[in-house]
Amino acid sequence: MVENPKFKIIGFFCNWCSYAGADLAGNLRLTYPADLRIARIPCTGRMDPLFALKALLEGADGVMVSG
Amino acid sequence: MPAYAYFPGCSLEASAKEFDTSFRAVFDKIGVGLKEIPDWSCCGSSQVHKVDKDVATAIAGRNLVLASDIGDIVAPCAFCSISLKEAIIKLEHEGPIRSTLIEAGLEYLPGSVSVISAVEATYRAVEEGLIDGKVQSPLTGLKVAAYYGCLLVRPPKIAQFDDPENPSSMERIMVAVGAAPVDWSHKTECCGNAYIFVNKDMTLNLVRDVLNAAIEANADAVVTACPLCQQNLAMRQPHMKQNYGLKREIPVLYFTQLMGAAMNIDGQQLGLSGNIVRLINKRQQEAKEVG
Amino acid sequence: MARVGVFICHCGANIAGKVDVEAVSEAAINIPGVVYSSHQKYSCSEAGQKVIIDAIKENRLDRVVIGSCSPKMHENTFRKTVQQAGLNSYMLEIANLREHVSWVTADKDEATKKAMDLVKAAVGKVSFAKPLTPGQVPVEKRALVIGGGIAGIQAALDIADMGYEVVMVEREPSIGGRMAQLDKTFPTLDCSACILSPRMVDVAQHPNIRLLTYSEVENVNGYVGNFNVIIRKKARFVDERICTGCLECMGKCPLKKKIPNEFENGRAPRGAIYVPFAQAVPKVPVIDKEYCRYLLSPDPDKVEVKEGEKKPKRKCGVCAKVCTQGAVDFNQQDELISEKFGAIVLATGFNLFDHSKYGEYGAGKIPDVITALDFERIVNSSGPTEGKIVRPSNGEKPKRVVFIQCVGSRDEAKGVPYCSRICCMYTAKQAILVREKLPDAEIYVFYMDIRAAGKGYEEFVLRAQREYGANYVRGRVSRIYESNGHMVLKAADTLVGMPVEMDDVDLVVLATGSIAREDSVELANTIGITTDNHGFISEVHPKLRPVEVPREGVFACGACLSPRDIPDAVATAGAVAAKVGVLFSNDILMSDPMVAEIDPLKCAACGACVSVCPYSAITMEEFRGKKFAKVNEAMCQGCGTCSAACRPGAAQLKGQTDEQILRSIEAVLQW
Repeated sequence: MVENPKFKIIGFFCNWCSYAGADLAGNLRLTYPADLRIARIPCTGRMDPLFALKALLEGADGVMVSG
Repeated sequence: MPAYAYFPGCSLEASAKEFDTSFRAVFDKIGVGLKEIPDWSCCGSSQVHKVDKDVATAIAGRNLVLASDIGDIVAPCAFCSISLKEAIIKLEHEGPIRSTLIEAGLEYLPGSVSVISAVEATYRAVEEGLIDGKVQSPLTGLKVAAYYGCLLVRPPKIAQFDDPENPSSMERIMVAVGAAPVDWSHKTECCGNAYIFVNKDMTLNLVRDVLNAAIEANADAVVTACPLCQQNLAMRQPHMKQNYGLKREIPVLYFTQLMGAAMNIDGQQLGLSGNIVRLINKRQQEAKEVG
Repeated sequence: MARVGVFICHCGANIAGKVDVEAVSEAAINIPGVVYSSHQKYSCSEAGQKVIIDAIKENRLDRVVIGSCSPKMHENTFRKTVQQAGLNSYMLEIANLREHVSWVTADKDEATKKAMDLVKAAVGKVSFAKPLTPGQVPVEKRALVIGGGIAGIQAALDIADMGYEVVMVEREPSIGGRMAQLDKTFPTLDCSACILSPRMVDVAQHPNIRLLTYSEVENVNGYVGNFNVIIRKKARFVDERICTGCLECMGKCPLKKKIPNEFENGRAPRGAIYVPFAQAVPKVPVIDKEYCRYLLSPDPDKVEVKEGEKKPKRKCGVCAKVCTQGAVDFNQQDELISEKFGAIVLATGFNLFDHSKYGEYGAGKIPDVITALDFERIVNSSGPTEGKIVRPSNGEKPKRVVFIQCVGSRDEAKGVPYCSRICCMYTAKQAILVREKLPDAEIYVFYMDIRAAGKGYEEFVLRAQREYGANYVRGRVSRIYESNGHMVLKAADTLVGMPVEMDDVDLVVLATGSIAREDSVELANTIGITTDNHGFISEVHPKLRPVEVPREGVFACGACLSPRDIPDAVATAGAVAAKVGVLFSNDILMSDPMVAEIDPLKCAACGACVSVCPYSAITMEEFRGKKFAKVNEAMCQGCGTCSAACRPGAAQLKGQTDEQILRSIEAVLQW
């Protein structure tokens, strides 16, 4: 294992809960690793499995769906 | 047959022998097995936890590990059950203490065992109907004041049983054996035992208040589930009438002793002779008063 | 080819302090499609917006990415900005560089890299953006007010005075709410009924208000400006149109004085046919079907009768016999009323903490330990004791009265962690009322802190102490028990640092805290809004949008939002009325264009979208023999579930199309 590995994790976050939650984390100045790239989706219902496959095929280290 | 891992604790080996024998006898009668934890040690309460809380948790943890092969622990003494329950909560978060236990060859797995008191175990048995048909001589007409003291249902986050300020589980048990619990004010007041060597006066005042409240509520006896309460409330009575205003002497018994009596268990096994203020047959007493 | 402009905002040092904004801006120019990139101190400022507008015009940009704070903050601001520059307002994408990057990342290099990725994603997404046009929907200029307490009354009157129609729904037989139960109000000692009753009558007489008491909201559908609401009007068994309010029936009910009256907090009885209190509006009784002997007796028409046996008769029915108007109608049924509204106002009020959880105060079993609401009824001249303060146990005057504050409030173990705000004040008021009626009584108030923030409030508490001789003791009461016909109370005086033991206490009044209505979560679910973890209705923003809730067109006022006193309840009711007025000043509303659309040519008519749509907004249509699914744009909430479920890719959520999302993934990982 490399020390301090850097990942690219694609997050799909529901606009109404988790995305707002991630905003709240910012408002509270909670720090977390920079590996996560959050995409705002209107609802986890919008989460097409294709998006996760696309992310992994394009080289993402992980996919996180939250809602 | 359901079985518990039985943790008697130090008091039940000596000063509260009758709690031990009566509890075992009652559970034998209702068909709930008690398997004594092999090589159990101190529960970690009394002096240990005042000196070093981590050591106390580790000591309690040792007993938890020893019991985990048998089943859930029943610890009659209020101090033991609280001490063991607290250890379960602490060990969940205390990695270092768990490591210490592993070094001693004792691996504690969170969630592997739980602890309940004798009242809790009996209450469950009553709720499950296990004592149905076992009560041969119901204690009809016997008015009892159920006394919980400080640790049986408190602190609520650790005890996790019954209402911390107005508990009623022992009353439920007493009703099941035909006795009539009284509604009274001092069921969770302090008995003062912890301060007997420091401030004897204060302790005796507290004892008097508890007992007088039971007497005012017309109780024939006080039932308890803590060895220290029982000892403290019972053995100081003979000297308290004159100097402390105790209204009269009143028997203080373990709830299991009364249950045993209702189930026709031999008095020897119940240790009724060991009680300092004996339960006087009501009729005898009335006869005395008339005579 | 798209011509994207990228604007990176410093947000002062908020973003620039952690993200190398210059580097991000320079790198952005190399992203495919980007033809312009710059960075500004504050993009949202007037100067910042001007830079954006000018850059769009000068560089003929057709799409814009702004790297700034969360889109939840300024998306609308920037939509207007790009519109001013002549672009469609949906040709914009925000990269969240503040909440999701600079505020949450420790390392500067990592923050900068992450910021670059988010800008790439935004560019990728905006490259496939299409102009969108909001739809137009008409506004039904009628308001529904749920709850007829002081907040609901004020909101209804204000909205009705603006000239709009209002329907008020109240669950109880009369409006008036909690305020009607109170005796006097702090800090002026106004008689509560005297200031409330005229307002209640105003509601009943207002030409624009329709009052539906003994009714509940069953279902809410639709959206802002166009809600469809189903209201259940419970059977009253008395015809409101005929009843004159003589109340002759009440006196003849054989169950009169047999049933605890809820309005009196159970401290006085009522009959099966009753009005809850003398000033009730409407002054029309209801028959309680749980108790009425007529309604509980079997229906002769439904009982099987053997030959030769007489048909059984209904019991009682006295009220119907004495009613000269023939208003009693035992055959009345619950009625479901369907109405259209443009706005909904919640004013459902609060409940009081149940002190049976306090075993140390007798768990509700000691008769002389009462709640503050009990006290309000007891001290009220139309209450159970006609205003005489007496001990419930024996009807005697109490000599030593103790008030205990914070019962349930500020108690994380047994109650709720928050402060109920009104208890310090009403306790001071009640102490004053005790002194006025019982000049010789000893009065003690046990408190944790005195919270008297309000106009004239602190002075009022001081008056209770100085002029009315209430002894304030700072400390918690640990135990109350009965002894010799009185009560013994144990407490701590934390200012002196000594335990307190008080004998011969005659009456204990518990200041039980305010809690949410037990069915508030259910109501919130019916309306499609949320509550906080204590069951109070959540507002959109606690400071800046305190009476709006997250469903557009729904507003809330009074104590259903959080515990509050009458002035605050009335103030928020007025605020709600103003918000409803703003909404109703529009004849039409713009609807969010980010809704689903289904391409009928691609649609395979499998019906998957119809079954997954949570809003029933999709139906199957047929045109010239070809079946396809169609979205009702007015009902679509833009969740995109249909789009995810659609295999041929016919269903697409506007502004969140598959293309847009897939391209933004690619942009982050490959560009």
